Amino acid sequence: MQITDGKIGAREILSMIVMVVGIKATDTTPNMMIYHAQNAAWLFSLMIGVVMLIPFLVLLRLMGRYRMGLYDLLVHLTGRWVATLIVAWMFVWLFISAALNTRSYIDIVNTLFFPQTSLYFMCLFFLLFSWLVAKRGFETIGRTSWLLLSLVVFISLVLSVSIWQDMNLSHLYPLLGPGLGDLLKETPRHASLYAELVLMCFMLPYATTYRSFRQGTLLGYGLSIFVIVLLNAYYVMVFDYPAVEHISFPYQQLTRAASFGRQVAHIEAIFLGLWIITAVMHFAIYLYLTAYLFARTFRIHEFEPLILPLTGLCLLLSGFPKNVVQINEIRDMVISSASIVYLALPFVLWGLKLWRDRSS
Amino acid sequence: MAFRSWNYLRSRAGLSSAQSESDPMRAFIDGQLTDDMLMNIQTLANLFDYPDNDSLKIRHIHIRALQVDAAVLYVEGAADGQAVERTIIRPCLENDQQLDAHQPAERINIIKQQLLPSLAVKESETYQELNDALLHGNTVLIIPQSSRAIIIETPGFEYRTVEMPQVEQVLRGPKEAFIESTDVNRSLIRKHIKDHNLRCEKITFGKRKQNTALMLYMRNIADDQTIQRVKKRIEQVESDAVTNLFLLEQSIEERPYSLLPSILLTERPDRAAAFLQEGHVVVLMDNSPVALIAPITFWALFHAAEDQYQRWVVANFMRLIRLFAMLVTMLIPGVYVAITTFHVEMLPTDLMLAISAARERVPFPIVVEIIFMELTFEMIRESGVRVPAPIGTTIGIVGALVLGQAAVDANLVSPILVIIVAITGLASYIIPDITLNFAIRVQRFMFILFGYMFGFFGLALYMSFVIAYLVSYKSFGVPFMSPLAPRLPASRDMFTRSAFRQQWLRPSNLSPKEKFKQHKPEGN
Repeated sequence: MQITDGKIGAREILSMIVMVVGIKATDTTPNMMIYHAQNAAWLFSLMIGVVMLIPFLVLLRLMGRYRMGLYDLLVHLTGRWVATLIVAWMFVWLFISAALNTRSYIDIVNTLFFPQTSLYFMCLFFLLFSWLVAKRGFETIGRTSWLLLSLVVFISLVLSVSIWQDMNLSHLYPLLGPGLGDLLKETPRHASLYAELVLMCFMLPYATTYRSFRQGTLLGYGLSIFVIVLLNAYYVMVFDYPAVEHISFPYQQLTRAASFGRQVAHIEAIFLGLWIITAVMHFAIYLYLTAYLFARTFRIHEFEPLILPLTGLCLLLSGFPKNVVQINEIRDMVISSASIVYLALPFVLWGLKLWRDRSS
Repeated sequence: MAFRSWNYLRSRAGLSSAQSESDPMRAFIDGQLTDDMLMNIQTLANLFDYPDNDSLKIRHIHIRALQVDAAVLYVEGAADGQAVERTIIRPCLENDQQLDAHQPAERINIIKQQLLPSLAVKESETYQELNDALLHGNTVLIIPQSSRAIIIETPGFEYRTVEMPQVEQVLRGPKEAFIESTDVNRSLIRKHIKDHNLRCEKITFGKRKQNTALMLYMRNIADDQTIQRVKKRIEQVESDAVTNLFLLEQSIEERPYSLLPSILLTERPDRAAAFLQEGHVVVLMDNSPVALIAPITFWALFHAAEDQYQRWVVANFMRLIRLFAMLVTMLIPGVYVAITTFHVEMLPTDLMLAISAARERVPFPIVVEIIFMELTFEMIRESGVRVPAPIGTTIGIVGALVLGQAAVDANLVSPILVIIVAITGLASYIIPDITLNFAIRVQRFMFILFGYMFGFFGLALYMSFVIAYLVSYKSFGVPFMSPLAPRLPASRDMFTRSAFRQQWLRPSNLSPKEKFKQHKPEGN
């Protein structure tokens, strides 16, 4: 048995999905959700999760049918040029998201914990370490994520226990927030919040089997949605709407509220540390995926050396936005403009498949 | 066999005999023995620069039983003189039964079968083998008209007796340690594993193929690929200066600049035996009071010998303490710097006030203070190892009094820092393996640096790198953190261990041929 053949199993995929999707509960994504869905942010995040699940299942089915990763599937069904175009678009989208998110994460840390440290210096170190992790390969990222998954579960539990007393269940009502109509309207627009799930399909060739990939992604997605829903509910329950709308960084604010008795009252720095470790994994996966997409666009075979220049470019890009408000605006725009693509793509591919089946 | 493979390697490398002019003895050594006894003796004498070089001893004797002259050759210091006298010279001289033999081959047979009372006797016809035999403390017997010589094993290298382990001590468990002799070490391992599947291979390496190592593994358990990998690595060692396992370890490891070791050296035969039974390869060498174990995982470094000998509760308690100590050693100074520099709100107010009051009179920034104290502690530790035993007590006085009390009184450091450094130092001694211990102690300074630069943000950044590095690190193809990441079937024996009788599964990260140690226990 060869055990280090560059492939990863269901456990690793599960934890990578959690690192790449689940962590969104802790950055500025909840702000966006709370902005659109008010106190029903938790329901909103659940609805987005369900909406995104359907095209993903279609995609899984397609990949299972042809036994190939998303890239090969695109080439097979749409032809080389269209596939390259789609991949190029995905690269640009993911790359902009990576740069924006980097900036947004560092903004959080900078504003709350290190107001006197240079923002760009922190960005530099953050991306440097993300690169150091990413360059060790997909296998390592997966296994490290798996090792850290228990940590994520552990801190979630600690956080839940420590803020238990501050929660008020009645803050969740009215359950539908702004009303079902608004929620239904906003849900598909924000589907690309979980678009990384589709992007992870490019990595099917790295999984040991299709079965383990399916298991890993579905379980990981379920766990991620659970975490996001839970944390969104916590924010509303602890801070109450509309106060929660004016909190820029709800997760960090929540960790400030965490306490165990009088002596251990300020442990937010520990949460910060553990959060940053998972964030490094998050961006390592981002960088690896962007390098992969870039290489596929330009048909470069060896893509791991590309991670470094792309990291540098990401650092430059992340310096452009002026402040956190601007970042959130751009982010909302980037997310809502891409949703339609990620929602429609699997169905288009499915249609192409049917058309092919019929014509052959 | 050794000779043939040497020639094979030379021909592979494109070397002919003519190219070995740098070593004039090479011409002698490559040849075969002739029928001329004097010529044979002369060639060996030339090899050893006899008689200018006072190491080769040549003793001419008359074998009474056969009525022929013969020569006995041995290297003084390598061979056991008394054994040569007792097992070779005396039987040849004193045995007066008349045996009839005229052919050289017959004579050799008679000598081997009827005259020599030694355990190990063999024949050879090449100078290379005779040369090696002499250097390994064996004795060569040359008789007239024969192109073959007899080699009798009479090694007489000095070694000490088996003693208690110096580093890996236990309260419960066997208390024997390896010594500097391969034969003794091998027998110590055999004592633990009485199994015909324990295979022992001799590997020669170095430019002249003069160095030998013994590679041990369980034929029915160890993975063939791993065995070949280790073997190939050892055979590829070019240097002749690799005379013990400490140098061999550095010659065969994959990442010589890494902080982490990819090989374990243990001085305990019971540990070596336990590793063998899980499918690892053990290498023994002369002059090394340790056994080399490859491949290894993080757990091999983290576990102590005693963990399996203590009962379940005690062993797991020790393990948890050890894990805690490891984190303390690595992180506490960095965390202290991070908290006092960036996250003061984490401390209870009273403690924070106490610290700042104590620090008020200290003129240096906190990072200078802590690096000063940590370096001092490292110096105390290092001098503790180097200092001659009779003056060792002075170090205690200097350490405790001067650096603890006086440094605080002189306002060089704050008192809480002394506590931090003392706890760190104490905790670092709990890590059982010395190389892991070093690695963690060095990492501590990196954590101090990052804690000072970015507080918990910096600590987390560096920590994520450390974890990713640990996961990606491999020892002879085996992932370092397996069977945890990647998760593979194995009996639970990582940060904690399961009850001894529940450990029925061999760790599959080593790809063992037999996956089970025993049948799956039923009940409890």
